Amino acid sequence: MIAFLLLLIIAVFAGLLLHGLHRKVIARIQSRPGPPVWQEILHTLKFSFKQTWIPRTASQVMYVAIVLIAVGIWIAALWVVWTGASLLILFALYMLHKIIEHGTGLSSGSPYTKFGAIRSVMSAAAELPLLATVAIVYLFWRTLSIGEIAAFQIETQTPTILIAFPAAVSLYLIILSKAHYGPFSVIEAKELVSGYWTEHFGGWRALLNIAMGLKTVVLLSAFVLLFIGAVPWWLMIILMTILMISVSFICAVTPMLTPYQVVTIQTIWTVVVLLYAAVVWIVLYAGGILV
Amino acid sequence: MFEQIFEQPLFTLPFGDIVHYLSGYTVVLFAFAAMFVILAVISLPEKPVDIVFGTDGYYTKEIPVDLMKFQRFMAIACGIATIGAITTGDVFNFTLFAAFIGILNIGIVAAVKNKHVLDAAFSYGLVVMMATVPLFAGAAIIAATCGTLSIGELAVTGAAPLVARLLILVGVLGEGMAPFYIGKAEITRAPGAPYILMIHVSSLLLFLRAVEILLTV
Amino acid sequence: MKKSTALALGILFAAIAIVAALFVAQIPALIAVVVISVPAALASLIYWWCAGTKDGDIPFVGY
Repeated sequence: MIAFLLLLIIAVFAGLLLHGLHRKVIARIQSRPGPPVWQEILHTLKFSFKQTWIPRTASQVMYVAIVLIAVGIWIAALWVVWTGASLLILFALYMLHKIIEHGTGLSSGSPYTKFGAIRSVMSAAAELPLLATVAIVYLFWRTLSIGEIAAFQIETQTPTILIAFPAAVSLYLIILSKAHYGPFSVIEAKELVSGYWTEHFGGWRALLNIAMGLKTVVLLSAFVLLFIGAVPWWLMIILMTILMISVSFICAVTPMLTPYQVVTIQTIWTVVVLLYAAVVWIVLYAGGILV
Repeated sequence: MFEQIFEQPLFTLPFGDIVHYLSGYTVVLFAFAAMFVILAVISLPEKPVDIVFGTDGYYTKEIPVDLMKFQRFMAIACGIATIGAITTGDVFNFTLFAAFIGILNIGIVAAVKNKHVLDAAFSYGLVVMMATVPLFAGAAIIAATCGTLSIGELAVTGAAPLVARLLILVGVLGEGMAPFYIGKAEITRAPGAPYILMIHVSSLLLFLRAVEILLTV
Repeated sequence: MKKSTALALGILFAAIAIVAALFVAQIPALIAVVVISVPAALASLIYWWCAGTKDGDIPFVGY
């Protein structure tokens, strides 16, 4: 009965801890000490109690509502992953996150956030690999229910990552594209101060941190469930941590890419995945495995 | 009657043989669209701040009330068209709403007096208009081969031809998704946050609904 | 909004959220209640904490 409530609270802290781990690993690779691993939790707690107001130039209702919607959609996404509901709902909630980025940026009137919002239109190219991932997962398992996909992999002893490696890379690219300080995080770039969330400060920043923490937990756990299977909870935590550290390695050693390069990489990888899907489909049809 | 890949529809509203329905998936989309229509109704636009070029000074722009009212009207109409596309159970109705959303997306920024935004909106609008060709072609092929346009019946009786589904997918992508969406980046420069956001919301929800339809028919 | 109103709303939304989260496994539709009431509770508590005076200055719009 208390399962979801407890999961929600733990997921917020776990997500922020993963973000802190992300920053720590990046720092150590760059030969500097880095912040303590619980820094993001401290930030969120500190920001909750800082003096918060609404900028005079902002669209007031929109400015507050978009932050509340951000927290709401990631709570819904956590529930989707917990109950193993349809992957398409998770897909929809991920794409709605892009709307959050636009809305957060546009609502305050500041030019920095506006440019963050404009850039996030271009980073929407990350939807292409996501669509390709969903298509391949459906092609192999003929179902879009996360719970069923996770169970099938355990039953048939074939994790999806072995049979559909390009789709796993696609979902990994999606996780990478939403990682802070990563190659695709041009929307939060330092020349825009903090990009789209510059003008959401204090309590609003704390709420956005909570939403981002939940986002990290949801995306990493979805990767494990879809591509490795319904593993026991301790193995899931270990795998999520390993995934996060691998993302941190990539974020530490890559420069920030321009929007053009971001779109190019996402589009090229989508084409690769779709070609792979087409080849597999033809093979499965010709081999008589699909009818 | 309905055999969708998710579950039985939660709610149906028949208008003769055109049945509007909400499944467990589209109710999420409906809630989101309704929320943004309400936001467009009750919010005022922001005052965009711009830097005076070459100095440290900045100035704030006030959006004229008639521009705000026009943008608000267009945004609400776009939101209602999105809700129509999300709930409809007829393929041709869906393509009509998709074309309608495309036109209203340009309409939202049509009154902004910024040449850069208007140029981008013009290019975006051209792509949207061109995308209506595959949209309607796909619907026509489905009508011709399967004899029905009702999503419920298509889900049960026959699979729509793959070429029709791909045409509808290309048409919906052309209504503002990658890779035909780049005009949208410059359109976002226009003032009026809750209304400009409706451009993104409508294209996105249209695409999400299209994915459900194409998997069902 | 008065400071005491914000606190009352925060506690109310938090209570609704906790009750809904406890029963969401049995009644899946309650997730909608959780999704709406958790952010509303957090926002109300932020308003309560940031209110400078007892009545009328939140949400403070300024600078």
